[in-house]
Amino acid sequence: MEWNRARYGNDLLKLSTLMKKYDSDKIFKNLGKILSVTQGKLQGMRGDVLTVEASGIEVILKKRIAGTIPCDLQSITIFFESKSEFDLSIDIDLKDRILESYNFQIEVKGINDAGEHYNAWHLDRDIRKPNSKKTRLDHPLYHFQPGGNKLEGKDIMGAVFIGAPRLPHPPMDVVLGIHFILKNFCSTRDYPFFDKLFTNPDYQDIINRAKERMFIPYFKAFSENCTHEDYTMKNVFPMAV
Amino acid sequence: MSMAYKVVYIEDQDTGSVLHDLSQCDLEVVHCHPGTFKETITEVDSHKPDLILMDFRLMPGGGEVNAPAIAQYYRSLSIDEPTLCLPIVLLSNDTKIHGFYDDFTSHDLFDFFIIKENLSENKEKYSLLMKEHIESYKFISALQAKETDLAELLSVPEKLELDIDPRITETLRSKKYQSNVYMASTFIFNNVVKSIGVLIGEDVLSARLGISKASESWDELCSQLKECEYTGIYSGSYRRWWADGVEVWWNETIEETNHLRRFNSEDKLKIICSKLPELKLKKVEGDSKTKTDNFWTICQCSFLPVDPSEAFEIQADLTLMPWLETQYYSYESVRDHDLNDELTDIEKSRYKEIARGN
Repeated sequence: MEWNRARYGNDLLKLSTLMKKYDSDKIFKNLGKILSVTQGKLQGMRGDVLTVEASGIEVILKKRIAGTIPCDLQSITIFFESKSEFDLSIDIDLKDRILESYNFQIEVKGINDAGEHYNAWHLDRDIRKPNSKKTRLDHPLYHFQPGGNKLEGKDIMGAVFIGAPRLPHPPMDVVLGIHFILKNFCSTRDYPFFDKLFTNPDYQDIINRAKERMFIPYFKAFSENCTHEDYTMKNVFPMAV
Repeated sequence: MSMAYKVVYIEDQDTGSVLHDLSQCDLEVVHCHPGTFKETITEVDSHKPDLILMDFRLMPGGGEVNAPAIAQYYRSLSIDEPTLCLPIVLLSNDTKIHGFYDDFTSHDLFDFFIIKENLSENKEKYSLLMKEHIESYKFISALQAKETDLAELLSVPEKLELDIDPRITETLRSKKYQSNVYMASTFIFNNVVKSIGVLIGEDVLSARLGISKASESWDELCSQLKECEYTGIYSGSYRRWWADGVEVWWNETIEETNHLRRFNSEDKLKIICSKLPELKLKKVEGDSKTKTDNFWTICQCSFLPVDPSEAFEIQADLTLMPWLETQYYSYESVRDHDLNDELTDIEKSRYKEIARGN
């Protein structure tokens, strides 16, 4: 069910409707439009490949956030872009369905009296050549990593980004990306309406279907009798082997 | 010489320069002095107008006829007979008309309004807008008669068809829009053409490209964007570009893979100039209090570019279409024009906090 093109498209539209309802502080600036276009493109295509691409999602937080550096940020803007392409002809019990075009980027911009300050994170899929025996360094197949090309050319003072560490994390699509942003950047103390969103059964169903697509195959790597060829302990969490 | 379009102007007071101004702009304007409701309707009908222009306060002493009642009559008539659907424009001396107008448009009455004192100075602009309404009504009516997709009215470039919010075309294809000329026209005029969303005007284009409109080569730069210039209905009165088209141009012509939104004006200027070195361009500037120049939209008071991350969000109407963008004021505009009351609650407190520190 979670792999049905129409179901996936409906989830995107429903998510957009729910966000509009519960985002009383209107922190999402363009989500409705972007998810609507993403859904339109997904539904408009045929074949075995599902393309779910959403770029330019913008979240602006204008309530003070505790614990930031610098501490006097007047606003925080999160730019999020996501591309997940799935080849449904691939047997999900054996191989990773997510294609190499996978992209997940979060850029954070804070503003205070001194100007703009940046940070960025991306969730990468390690590109491995077919039949390659040795992977580069010990990169987890999917990993979160600070910095990246979103910071290139930005005036970063007093901070250094070297692309390490690469922290193992299961892949996320746009649905889980939005959930991730809400859970990590938006305190429910400041934005209490999101607590109601998280308990909305439709929202929970949408998130659960996204987890079925993105997380469940990945976590098979940790099962005792793992027969998956891509999601193995060595691939997803090299440090554990 | 016979004029192209006939406008009936219903006015119980002196018609002033209105007849003269509009007649100079290739419109045949006939004055109708309102009598009773029935007499007024009979006279208007006898002229077979292409458009009705009416003063807001007809018979202010509490008489039988007023503008909304007449407009309502013509709107109701067109429900049964779409060919009787006419553009209706409100004209008034009343500077508070905005509130009334907003109220009445929500009841499907008027296409747009004009403040009388602005008419003379902008007679070409307003007469063009009237003509475009007349032509658009005829075009919509013809498409509806042939049961043709009303999305055609937008002339979306083929390349952008998948990038345009599908709810816009879905709405235009729905039964009630396929059978009501006024609804289709006003939907496109207010929710697509006039507002910042799927289409953007010259000021927003300048903000997004980071390039000043005062640049020597601004027109040449705009001609580079010809492919994404809007050519659908009302494009004669409103010069617009497809917002997604500008992004496609940035990716394909300028060959920059990072999103346009990520760059500040200086970077955008450098990137555009390196790709189009023959153009003489300069970067756009915000107001003096601006701390960031990742401009994306404009301040609704000064019309100067602002970055939504920094600017102050205006409390929006709850019925705002989902593809329309949030509107903002710059710090300086809020301070100098006392606009704090128009902001969202979060922004009110953020403004106060920043103002205290400044």
